[in-house]
Amino acid sequence: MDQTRRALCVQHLDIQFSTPHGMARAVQEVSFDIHAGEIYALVGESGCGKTSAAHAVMGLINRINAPGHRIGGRVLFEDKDLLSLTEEEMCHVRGRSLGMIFQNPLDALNPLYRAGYQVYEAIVLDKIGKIEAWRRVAELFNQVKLSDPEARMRSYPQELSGGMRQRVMIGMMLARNPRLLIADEPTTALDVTIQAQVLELILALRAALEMSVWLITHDFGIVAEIADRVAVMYAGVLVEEADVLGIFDNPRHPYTRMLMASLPRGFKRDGRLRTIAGLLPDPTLEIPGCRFRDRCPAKIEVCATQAPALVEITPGHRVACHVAATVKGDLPP
Amino acid sequence: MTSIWKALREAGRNKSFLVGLAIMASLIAAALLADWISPYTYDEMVIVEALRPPSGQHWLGTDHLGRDSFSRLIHGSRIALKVGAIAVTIQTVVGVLLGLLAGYYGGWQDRVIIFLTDVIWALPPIVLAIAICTLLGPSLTNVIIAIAAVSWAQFTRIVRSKTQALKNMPYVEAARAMGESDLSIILRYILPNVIPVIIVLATLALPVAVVNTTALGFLGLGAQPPLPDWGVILSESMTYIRRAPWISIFPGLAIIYVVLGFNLLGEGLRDALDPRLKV
Amino acid sequence: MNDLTAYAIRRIFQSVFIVLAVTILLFAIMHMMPGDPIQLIDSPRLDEATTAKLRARWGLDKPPVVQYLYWLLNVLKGDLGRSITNGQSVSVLLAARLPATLHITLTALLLQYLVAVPLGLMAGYHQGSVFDRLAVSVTSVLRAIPYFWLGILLIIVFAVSFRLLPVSGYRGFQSLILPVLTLTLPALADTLRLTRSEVLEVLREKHVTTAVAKGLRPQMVLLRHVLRNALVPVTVMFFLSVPWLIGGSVIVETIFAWPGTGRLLWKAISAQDYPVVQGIILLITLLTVISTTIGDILTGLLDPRIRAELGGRVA
Repeated sequence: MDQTRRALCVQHLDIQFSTPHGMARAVQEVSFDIHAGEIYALVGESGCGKTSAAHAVMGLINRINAPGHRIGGRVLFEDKDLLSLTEEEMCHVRGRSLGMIFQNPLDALNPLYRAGYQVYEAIVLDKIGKIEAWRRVAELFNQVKLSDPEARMRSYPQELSGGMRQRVMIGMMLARNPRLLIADEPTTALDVTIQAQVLELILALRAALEMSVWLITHDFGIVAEIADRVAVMYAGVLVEEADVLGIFDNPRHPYTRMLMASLPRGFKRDGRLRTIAGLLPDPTLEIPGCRFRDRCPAKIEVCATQAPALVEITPGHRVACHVAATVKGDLPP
Repeated sequence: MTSIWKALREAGRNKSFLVGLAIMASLIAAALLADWISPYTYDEMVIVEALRPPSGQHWLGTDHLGRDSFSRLIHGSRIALKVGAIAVTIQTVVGVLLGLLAGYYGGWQDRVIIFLTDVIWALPPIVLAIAICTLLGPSLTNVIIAIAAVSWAQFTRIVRSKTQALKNMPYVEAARAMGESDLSIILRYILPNVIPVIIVLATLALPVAVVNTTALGFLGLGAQPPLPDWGVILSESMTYIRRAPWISIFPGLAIIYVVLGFNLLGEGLRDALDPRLKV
Repeated sequence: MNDLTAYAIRRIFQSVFIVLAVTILLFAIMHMMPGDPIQLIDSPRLDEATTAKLRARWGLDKPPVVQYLYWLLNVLKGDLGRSITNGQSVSVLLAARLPATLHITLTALLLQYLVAVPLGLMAGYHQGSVFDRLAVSVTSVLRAIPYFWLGILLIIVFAVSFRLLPVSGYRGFQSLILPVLTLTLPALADTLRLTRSEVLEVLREKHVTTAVAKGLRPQMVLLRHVLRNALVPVTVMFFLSVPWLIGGSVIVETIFAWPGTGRLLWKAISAQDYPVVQGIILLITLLTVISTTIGDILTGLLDPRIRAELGGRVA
C-alpha cells in the first residue's frame, strides 16, 4: 500500500450535538488517514460516534437534523478541507467523488420513486444526455449484480428485498465513480447469506473502480473478512489503530481485547460468550482521564486523571492506553 | 389507569395544557355562577338603552332591545357548555360502542358499521346537522341530537383501529385461550387501553360541538330567542352591524376563547397520552 | 389491469353505494315529513275520491319501496320534483344557483392549496425562524375562528369601517373577495399547518439524507424528495376538507347574501320547502362523494405503496 497517497485525512475531528441536557460530545479529537485504495474499518459499539464522524465528513449534519451542533477540526479530501466548504461546493463533492451507503436500505430509498429513477437522478447531475444516463443505470444495475436489471429499474424500493435495495444503493453511490465510498453498517440489516454477497460485491467493486472504502461496523467478523486497516472507537475517541493482522494477532487496548473476546469465535473453555460489562459514559459530561476507565479490567491510578494519547507502539500500530503503551509483550487477560 | 394519572402529571408540566385547563376552569365557573357574575338578567329589556356602546354601566354595551350584552354573553356560556358536553357524551358513548363492536368482532358487523360511517361522511357535518334540525324542528334538544349524530363516526373509526391492534396482542389472545368471555376481554383489556384516546378525542370534539351549536343557532335552527345562545346573538346583531358592530364582536371572541382553550387542553393531553394520534 | 385501475373501479363502486344509501336516507326522511304533496295542495275543492285518484296517479298509494324506486328513477332522469313555494323545477333552480356556489368554493379551494402548500413548506424548512413562528401563531388563531364570525368580522373591518368592499351581493370581482376569504382562511390555516408538520416529518426521514448524499442540491432535495412525499397526506386531507368547505359555504352564502345553493338551502329551510332541501342535500352529497373519491384515487396515483396495498385483485 502506498503510504504517501491519502484518500482522506481526518484531523482533530470534534462533533458536539445539542441535547436537552446540554452539549453532548459525540466525537472527540479524532484523527486518522485512509490510504488510497484501501478498505479502512472503523469499529465500535452503537452510539460510539462512528456514524456521526461519517456524516460530518459527508456534510450531512445540518441545522435541520441537528440544530445547534458544533463541528471542529479538518477533513482533507482531494486537497480541500471538506468542513470549510460551502453547501454549494459540498454538492459537487457528494455523490461525485464521495459516496455513502447506509445501514437500512429500506429507509434509505424514497418509497415514491422507482429504483431506476433514483439512480438516474444521481447520474444526470453530470451533464449527460437522458438516453445515455438510462443506459448507465442499466449498466450499473448489471454491475451490482441485480438479476433482471430492466425489471428492477422499474420496481419501487418496497418491492425489492433488503439485499436488492442495498445493491441499488451501492449502484447509486458508485454511479459517478467516487474516489471514496463510505459504507455505514452496509450489511447489518441483511440476512447472513446476503451479507456475504454484498461484502463480496464491495470488495470486487473496490478493485474494479480503484476506490477507497471507509467501512463503519460493529462486527469484527466483517472486519476480518474485508478490511485492510482497522481503527477502534470508544465513546467518541479513537482507542486503537492497526492493520487488520495487527489488530487480530496483537490487540493492545483492553477495549479491543474485550471486543475480540466477545466474538463468537472467541469461545472460552466454559463455552460461554463473553460480554462487556458496563455502559458507555454520558457524553454530556466532561470526564477527566480515560473514558474507558469504568469498564476497564486493567486500569491503573493515572487512568483516573490523565486521558491517554494515541501513541505509535510499533510501526503502524497506535494505541491510546496508559497500560498498553508501557507494557511490552503479553498483557494481562 | 395508573398510566393515565402519570400521563396527566406529565401533561401538567406542559404550558399550553395548563393554559387550556385555566380557560376551561374559567368557562365552567362562568357557566355555573352566571346568575351571580352577570349584572343583569339575560332577557331584561330597557328599550331606551338600546344599542349603547360599551360603558361603565354596560361593560360590553347593549343590544337592539337594550339588553346587557355582557350578561347575555355570560349566560350564553352556560348554553354552549351544556349543549357541547351532552352532545359530546352521546357521540362518545355511541362512537366508542360501535368502534369496539366493529374492531373486536370484524366480519359483517365491521362492514355494516364502516359503511354507516362512510354514509355519514358523505355529507358535510354542518349540512347533515342542518337537515336533522330541519326535520326535527328547531330546539336545543334537537341541536344536541343533530351534533351527536354527525360526530360519532370519528370516534368509531379511531376506536375500531385501536381495537383491531389490541385484539391481536399476546395477552388478549392468552385471555381468550383461557376461555374469558368477549365482554370481559373488552372491558378488562381493550377498553382501558382505548380510554386515553377517547379522552383526547372527546376534549377536541367539544369545541367543534360548540361551534356547530352556535352555527345552528345563527341559522335559526337551534336555540330560539330570547335565549342568549352566542349564535342567536350573532344573527340578531347582523342587522345592526353598521350602527353597533360591538354586539357582533364579543360573541365571536367568546367562541374563539372556548375553541382555543379546549384545543390547547386536547393537544396537551394528546402529547401526554398518545403523541402519535393524528386528529 | 394495473393496481390503480382496479382500485379506482372498486372505489367508484363503493361511492355509488354510498350515494344510494344517502338517497334512501333522504327519501326516508322526506317520507317521515308530515303530509304528502297531495295534502299540501290543501284545497277545499278536493274530495276524498279525487285525492285517491291523484294519489294513484302519482304512485303515492304504492308501498314506500316502490315509491322510492319511482323517485330514484326520476332523480336519475334529472327530475328532482318541484318547489312547494313557487312551483319551479328543483333541478332548474339548482342549475341556476350552482355556478355561484362553485365560483366561491373553487376559488377558495384553489387559494387554499396554492397559498398554504408553499408557505407550509417554507415554515417547515425554516423551522424556528421568525417566519415559521409567525405562521404558527397566525394559523393557531385562524383555526379557532368559526366561519360565520370570521365573515362578520371581515364585513365590519373591510366593508363597514373602511368601506373598501361591498358588504354582500354578487357583483363582480370585488364582491367575491370577502366570501372567498371567509371560506378559505380557516382551511388555509389547516393546510398550512399540515404541510408544515409533514415537511418536518419527511425532512427527518433517511431517504432525504440519501438524496443529499448522492449530490442533489438543496432545492432539488426539497422539491423532489421532501415536498413530493409531504404532498401525499396533504392532498388526501385537501380532498377530505372539501365537505367542510361546502358546509361552510352554506353559512358564508347566508351571511354575504351570495346567490348560491347554500343561500337557497337556508331560504328553503325557512320556508319549509322540502323538495328543494332534498335536492340541495342530494347535490351536496354528490359533490362531497365525488371529491373524496377523487382524493382517494389521487392518493393511489401519488403513492405506489397505497396503490399496491389497495389494488388487490378484482374478481
